[in-house]
Amino acid sequence: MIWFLLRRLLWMIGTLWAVFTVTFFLMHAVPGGPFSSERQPPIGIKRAIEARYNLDLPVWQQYLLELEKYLHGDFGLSFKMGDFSVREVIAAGLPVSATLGVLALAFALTLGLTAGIVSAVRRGGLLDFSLMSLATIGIAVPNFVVAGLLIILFVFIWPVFPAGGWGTPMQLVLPAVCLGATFAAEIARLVRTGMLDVLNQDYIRTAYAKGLMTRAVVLHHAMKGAILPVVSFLGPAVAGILTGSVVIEYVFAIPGLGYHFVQSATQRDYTVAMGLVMLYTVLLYTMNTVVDVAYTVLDPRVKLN
Amino acid sequence: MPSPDEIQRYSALLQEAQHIRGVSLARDAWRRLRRNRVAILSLAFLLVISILAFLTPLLPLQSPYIQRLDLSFAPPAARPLWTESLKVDDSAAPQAGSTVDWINKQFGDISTFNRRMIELRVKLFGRWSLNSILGRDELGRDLLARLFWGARISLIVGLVATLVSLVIGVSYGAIAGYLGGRVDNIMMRLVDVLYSIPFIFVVIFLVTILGEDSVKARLEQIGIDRITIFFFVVGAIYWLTMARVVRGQIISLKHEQFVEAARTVGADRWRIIFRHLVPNVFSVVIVYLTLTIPQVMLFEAFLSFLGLGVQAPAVSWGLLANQGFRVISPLKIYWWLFVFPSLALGLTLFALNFLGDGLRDALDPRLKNK
Amino acid sequence: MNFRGRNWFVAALLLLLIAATAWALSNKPPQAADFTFVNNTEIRSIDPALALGQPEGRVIMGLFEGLTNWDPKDLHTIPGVAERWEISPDQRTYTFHLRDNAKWSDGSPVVAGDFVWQWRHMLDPLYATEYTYQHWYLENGERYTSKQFGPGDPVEIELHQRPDGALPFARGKVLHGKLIAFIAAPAPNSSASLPPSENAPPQPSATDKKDEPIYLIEIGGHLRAFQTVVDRDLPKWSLPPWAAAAIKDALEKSSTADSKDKTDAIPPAPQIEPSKNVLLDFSEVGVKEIDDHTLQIHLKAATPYYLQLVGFYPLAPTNPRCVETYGYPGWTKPEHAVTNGPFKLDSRVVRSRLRMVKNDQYWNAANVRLNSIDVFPIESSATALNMYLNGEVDWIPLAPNTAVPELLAQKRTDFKHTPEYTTDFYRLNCTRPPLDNKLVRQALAMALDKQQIVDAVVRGGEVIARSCVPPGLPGYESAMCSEYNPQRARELLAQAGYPNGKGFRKLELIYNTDELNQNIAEVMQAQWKENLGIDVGLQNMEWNAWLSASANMEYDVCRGGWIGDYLDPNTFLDMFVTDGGNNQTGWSNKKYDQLIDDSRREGDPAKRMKILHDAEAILMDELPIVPIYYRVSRNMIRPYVHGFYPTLLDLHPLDTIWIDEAEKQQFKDHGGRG
Repeated sequence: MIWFLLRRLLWMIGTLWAVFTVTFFLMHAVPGGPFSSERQPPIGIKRAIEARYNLDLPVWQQYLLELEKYLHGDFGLSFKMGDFSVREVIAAGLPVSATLGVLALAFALTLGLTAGIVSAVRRGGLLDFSLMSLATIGIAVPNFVVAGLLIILFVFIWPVFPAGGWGTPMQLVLPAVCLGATFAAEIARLVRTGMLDVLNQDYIRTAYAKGLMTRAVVLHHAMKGAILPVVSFLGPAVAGILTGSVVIEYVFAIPGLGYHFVQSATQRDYTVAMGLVMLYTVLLYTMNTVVDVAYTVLDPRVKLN
Repeated sequence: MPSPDEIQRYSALLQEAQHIRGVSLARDAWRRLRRNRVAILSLAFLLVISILAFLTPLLPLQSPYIQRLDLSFAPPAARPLWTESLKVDDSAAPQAGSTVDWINKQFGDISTFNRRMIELRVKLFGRWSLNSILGRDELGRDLLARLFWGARISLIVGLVATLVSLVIGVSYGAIAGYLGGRVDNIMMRLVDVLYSIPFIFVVIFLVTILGEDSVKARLEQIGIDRITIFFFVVGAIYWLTMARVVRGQIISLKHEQFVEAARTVGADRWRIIFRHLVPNVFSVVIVYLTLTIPQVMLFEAFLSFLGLGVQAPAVSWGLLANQGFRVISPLKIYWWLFVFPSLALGLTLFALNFLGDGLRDALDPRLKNK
Repeated sequence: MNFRGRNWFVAALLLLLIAATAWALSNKPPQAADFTFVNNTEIRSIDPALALGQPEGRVIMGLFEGLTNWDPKDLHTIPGVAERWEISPDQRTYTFHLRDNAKWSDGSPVVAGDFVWQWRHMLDPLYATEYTYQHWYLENGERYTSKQFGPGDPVEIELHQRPDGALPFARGKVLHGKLIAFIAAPAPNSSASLPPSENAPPQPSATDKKDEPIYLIEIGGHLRAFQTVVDRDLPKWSLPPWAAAAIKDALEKSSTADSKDKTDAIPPAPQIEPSKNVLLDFSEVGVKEIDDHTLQIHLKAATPYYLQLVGFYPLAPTNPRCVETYGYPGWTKPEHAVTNGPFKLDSRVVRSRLRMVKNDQYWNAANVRLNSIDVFPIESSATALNMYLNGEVDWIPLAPNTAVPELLAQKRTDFKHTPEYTTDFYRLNCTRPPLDNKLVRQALAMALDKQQIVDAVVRGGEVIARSCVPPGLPGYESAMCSEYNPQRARELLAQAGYPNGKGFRKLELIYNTDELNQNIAEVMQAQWKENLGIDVGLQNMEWNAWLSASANMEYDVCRGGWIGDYLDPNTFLDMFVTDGGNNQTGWSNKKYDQLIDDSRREGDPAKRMKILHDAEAILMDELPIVPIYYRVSRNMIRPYVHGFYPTLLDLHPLDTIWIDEAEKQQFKDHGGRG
């Protein structure tokens, strides 16, 4: 296990370097820079500004300088929000997105697992149909439509929740639900599929034959097998949630990473963009490792290789 | 010498055996699918939508591009049901009159094929079209027409992009999963690296570079326009998850007995992967597929959010849903702009999902001959 | 089956959930501020020098105060830090007397030296920003920034080391001397050195990869040589190989030129020292500290709107001691920031909330009636509107465009819809045929039914524009272009050689991604097709790509616009001089340049306005831009907020605002929304 984790760590460092390089050159190849402004300063000043940020150097030199800074843990200042360093932006945004993500995921898992299990067990019945329909709505409609609907209902018509912002518990509910709805639906479907696969296995029939009740069968025997596809899905799902649903954060004015992510990309805020890409890579990698380990734990047939 | 009883028994068996035909997976699946009413309904719905989308220029609809600024934000109106919306105002431009000009004016730059359909439509329905029974948008454009024309783009984007991701993803994941070891490691590391590159940069990068005049001109010569590039860009983003899921399933499956059996019989690895393992992951792939098509269509909506998606004057469901969303406020809710595109998207994706479920049940090889 | 493993997994997830929820709920938001408003974006900085636009302006105007202030009702100049001033007869010298009781939020007095420090900092090419050019009205200001000096000029040399006992981020030690010779580095591949140039050093070109030049400077009777080295290169800096020979040459030339006595020995070549920068001596620049409370300014030319300009928020001072102690961005943190305006910075969470509280040290604190202000940087105008209508904020500066017709129809009194000093126009690339033909441009302009665009698309009650400078400024009359006349437009196009649009190539119109821009572009496309028979393709671009295309003139027709910085036509008209940075059309007209130049010299206000009018007349005849409409503000503000006045520049100083608590309570009691 230790060797496995160590090897994974090495690979992660390698991946980080590769991602850093590719992202850096991608960003610099696109037109427009962080100082594109409708207000064009006279040419001498523009050059002075660019020199201050090393933008006057050839790209490969900028790359090396940037790499060196990163190795020292210096991610630089944001270009667009100059008062903040990239670390401060990440430090402020990560807990926000993480909280929102965890709440959304909790909502999604609870709803998804329950719906999926019930559907699978009562397969073909009315309950199966209605639950799956509800689940389908979650993925059949863009999340801003869900957000729009919920805003109309719970902010305008019955003013229960605030329209946006971050800080109070009430401001958490709508965004978390909107964000989680998509994943709840996907989880429900995956669980259902997984469960159905498992329920058809021989050992399940054996369990039934032994006289065990449905609940016992489901919870003790079938669950583990059914969770596998969900676990496999969790990796990308969590990474996706963690960087935040951009749309949700934009709509509800939530200062999370997903929002910073897109803003930095479209505004060519190189430093913040790079920092977030690195963070995203680390998180994703960690999630994948956790998922792989979880797979071994849950399914003894799978070996860590 | 067998007794008459035995002979009778054996001949009955023989007759029965002759009736049992080896059933191929596909036919067996289709039989099962037919019994699933919801799935068949969904299939029918999708077929109808696709046909309607394909035949859109033939339908008696208004133009999706012509603006009626005086009718901005008009709510849905069912009376009168028919309007003479395609009537040409002859006092306008000097060279009015010929059908060619008129079609150009109403429908913009369209292909010859569509043009023929519109000409046929005029022969069938004259210049009458359905009134705006779904209302109009900010610029007074008919929502009904826009929904139909948008369907074409949305459906094609969803289909093509998903197919691209399917082909690449399944092959990649199956190979990686089965071969295991170092090859698997390298292949999956590559996927991880690609996954970690924020797609938004890639898309902005590609779309901008490909929008450069010189590049665009050269591509248009080969017949690749912006939309085609779009398909491939989007498809190229979604194959990663597919590969991962398939790999996970293959890993679980490769220890199953049927794989052992195939190996014993002497099948080489490619045969095992593509002939034996892949069909078994089909159910998961199909479900994932029906999850990807919606994702692709929703991703297209997200790109429209950023202005990188379908460009005016083209229209897609994502664009329409976006437009509808942006006018939500407590002041006045132009519900039709929000509800109808969402409904269109929702119902289609609904249908796709139920069909996917049905297919999953139908294709499960363990249910064979049930 | 690994029972324990599975349980650990679930337990871990549950723990994570509880932790996250606890964290989220533990962050108690501060008590609601007296006054809350939405800013349209997270500001780049609270530093006035780094201001970019109105979002920064709103915050900076609350935190800092310049020499003059702008009256909240009509933005005329009123005393700020300076309580009175004198202007010389030639209108080139201003003497500002600062008030005794002007203080920073840490209690120290605001002195003339603070202004000098800040303005020098902005003029310094190492720290130049987008608004630096506003200081180029000062005598020698532009020379200072662009390093335009030559042999014989007094120079200052900034070294890398700080003087002993200086603050951590203070300027390096500064030496003063006289430039003897300037030695340009040789071209990269040549080993020979260039002869010293007698003229001002050439501007470094964009592809300049040569070494920095060497300056021979006489300081206190001794000859010294300096080469500018950037901080990042200092550790590896060494004497350039060509230097020794070059200096010897320079000394020979200079001594042969000076001396009449051939027996004068050539002085020994001095050791080259690294310097951080060599600039024109700042004492040459027209801003001087006479004493702590007197600031004298010498302008390059008479500038009638200068008093207004010094009240413009990028020209506000910062506290030198604070900045030099903590550096940038450290000093902008709430625990360090020192400000001199009616408010000071209390707390700040990026893209979430910025809180200002009353500055008790402000000289006019007695008249400031708000104790705290919250600023929410919210990018989505739809969300902002929803928050406003939900009673969560008191003021939003920009209601979404799509909501405006409904707001107007409902005749809401809290919707302030007043003219702005802003013009939306489209640039025409005058370097690309057929747009280089004046007749074509005029035809394009005349074929646009702007009223239709405004009525049906923008629908915010905007006024159509036929001039570059918006109306509303007393004393100035804008020059107009022709009205909508499709018939005449067709004639002009035919005259230009494209009857009925035949033979006219397809133009491409670019705009930045935005619903409104797209709708306007589509209508324009339709109108040009209808009226002139020409084809126009639309291309929407992401913001940065669009800015880039506009600046590099990679377009045929490009959406643009301009918000006036101060109330004078010059803010619009000086954009379009030849090679102006904000021209971006390739249009050049000598007479126009001349008129703009003349206007800078004309002292009589009435005559000056006439000159500007004439210049605009040329602009509106040549039409490198097609003006479409003047903007109207879209403020929404609750009736219990007083002291808020609609102004032409849509700037609203925060110090005069006050809340009627009783009215607000009443509003809350009735539901607090709608």
